[in-house]
Amino acid sequence: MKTAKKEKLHKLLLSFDRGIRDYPHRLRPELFQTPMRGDWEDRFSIYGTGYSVRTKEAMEEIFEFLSSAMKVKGWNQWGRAYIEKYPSRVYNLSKIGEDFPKFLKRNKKLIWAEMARFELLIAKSFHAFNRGEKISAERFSEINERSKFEFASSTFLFESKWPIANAWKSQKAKLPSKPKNEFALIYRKSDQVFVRILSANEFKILKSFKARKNLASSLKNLDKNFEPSQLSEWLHFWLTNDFFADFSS
Amino acid sequence: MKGLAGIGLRTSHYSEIRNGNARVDWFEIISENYIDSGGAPLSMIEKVREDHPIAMHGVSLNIGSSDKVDKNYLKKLKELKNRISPFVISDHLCWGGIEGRHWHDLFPVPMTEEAVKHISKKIRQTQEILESRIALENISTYLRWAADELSETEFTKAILQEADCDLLLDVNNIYVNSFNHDLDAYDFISKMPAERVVQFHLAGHSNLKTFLFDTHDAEVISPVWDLFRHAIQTIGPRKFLVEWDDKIPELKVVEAEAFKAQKIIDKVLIERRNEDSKKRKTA
Ligand SMILES: [Fe+2]
Repeated sequence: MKTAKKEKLHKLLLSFDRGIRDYPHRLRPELFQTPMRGDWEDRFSIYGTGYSVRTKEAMEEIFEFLSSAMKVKGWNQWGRAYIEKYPSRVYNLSKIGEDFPKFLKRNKKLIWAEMARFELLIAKSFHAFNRGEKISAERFSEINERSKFEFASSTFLFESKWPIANAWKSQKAKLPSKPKNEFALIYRKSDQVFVRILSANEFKILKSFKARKNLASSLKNLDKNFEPSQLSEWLHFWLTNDFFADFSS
Repeated sequence: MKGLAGIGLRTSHYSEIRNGNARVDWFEIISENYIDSGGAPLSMIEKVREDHPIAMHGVSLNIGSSDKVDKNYLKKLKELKNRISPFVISDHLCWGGIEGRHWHDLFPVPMTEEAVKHISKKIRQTQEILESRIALENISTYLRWAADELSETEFTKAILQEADCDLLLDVNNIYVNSFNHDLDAYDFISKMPAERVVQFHLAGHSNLKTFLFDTHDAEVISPVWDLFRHAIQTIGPRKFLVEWDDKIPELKVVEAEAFKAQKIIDKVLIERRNEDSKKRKTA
């Protein structure tokens, strides 16, 4: 008897859930009391349309550049298709776009997918939990060949066959039209997220750091144009811009 | 009476608050905006809480769902609680997702005996996991279930009693529901257990002619102020919050609404004091 009643609550909520999922196609008026005024459909529409309004707003916050570059029609069509394919399973709307790059790639929208992947990293950098303490300037002299670097949670490397980060930095809401290899780093300083375009060598070193290799081995296999004098300049920039949470000496 | 006036902490007001221009007593945060966020949002609340108490108000507890309590969500909520020490943790008496899907909305629960038992059990588990009492808010609804067995008054009271939790009484939501479902808003307030009411909410709504829509995008309307006065007279003064979540105006406009509420409370208290002294004199 008890199970039967509990099932009743579950079944009722599932019917409501289905009404929202397939809105406005599978509505069941018998589930609700007839309102005193107006139609029940008008009232149900508040629930039926609310989800797409809220998810659209949240997606536009994460994919600010992409949503305007895709233009209204493209954004509405693909944004909606994504939300239908991936109903939210997160309790936090700011996490709703996790599968968007994958979804766009599967649908052969490769440049859009790349921009989505990039903007998702920007959002991740903004929200990441970093450890409180920063590396103090006095410690910089402790760096040696064996030093290994730990990335801050808000630091992300980005590599693409398209100049995505450059387009994003231009703030012109225009996606690149020609492919070009690009390396970038997304980092956060004083709660603000920045993007640094990297040379192939700077990228290789940082990628090697990320793989927990020490400084000496990270300097192997660099392109010929690498000048060792660049290194101290880069290290200074990386350390003073909070790329790392810590390093071992 | 001091320390009662609160408003929601919104990003558009961050810089003014940071500059020390806020005049209200406390701020409410939407818990979900901070449980997975360690950057600017977290720095902001850490700054705000230096000078102001903070209330944690959630939207994803999903307490009315037939799903089990989400332990992962509660773990994160507890971490936030430990980090910012709020004076209250609240959410809504509603459901918003099922079988792991989230609609990010506040849906009405079928008001049945079974739902009372199921929800009360979930509330008790939630309070145990959080190691804290929680307050649940009465929501605005647009439809009533045909399966309802209890009135909203009976349903709310039964859950508060069986779960042993607190009530966040949203005066605007009572007004909206009284219009949408032809209820007596004054009677609803009079029947709520005063000892469990820990906070009031006030907000604006939209009139869609055949029903009212709880939009939080405008000033509080005069009948809601009257209802608030009644709530203060019957329940007593409590911390209160002015909600303004859409078309958010300048900080001072939202604060002005909070000061209107403060004035009502002060006036009710003066009237009560005068009456008491009159009674004493006649005695
Ligand atoms: Fe409210």
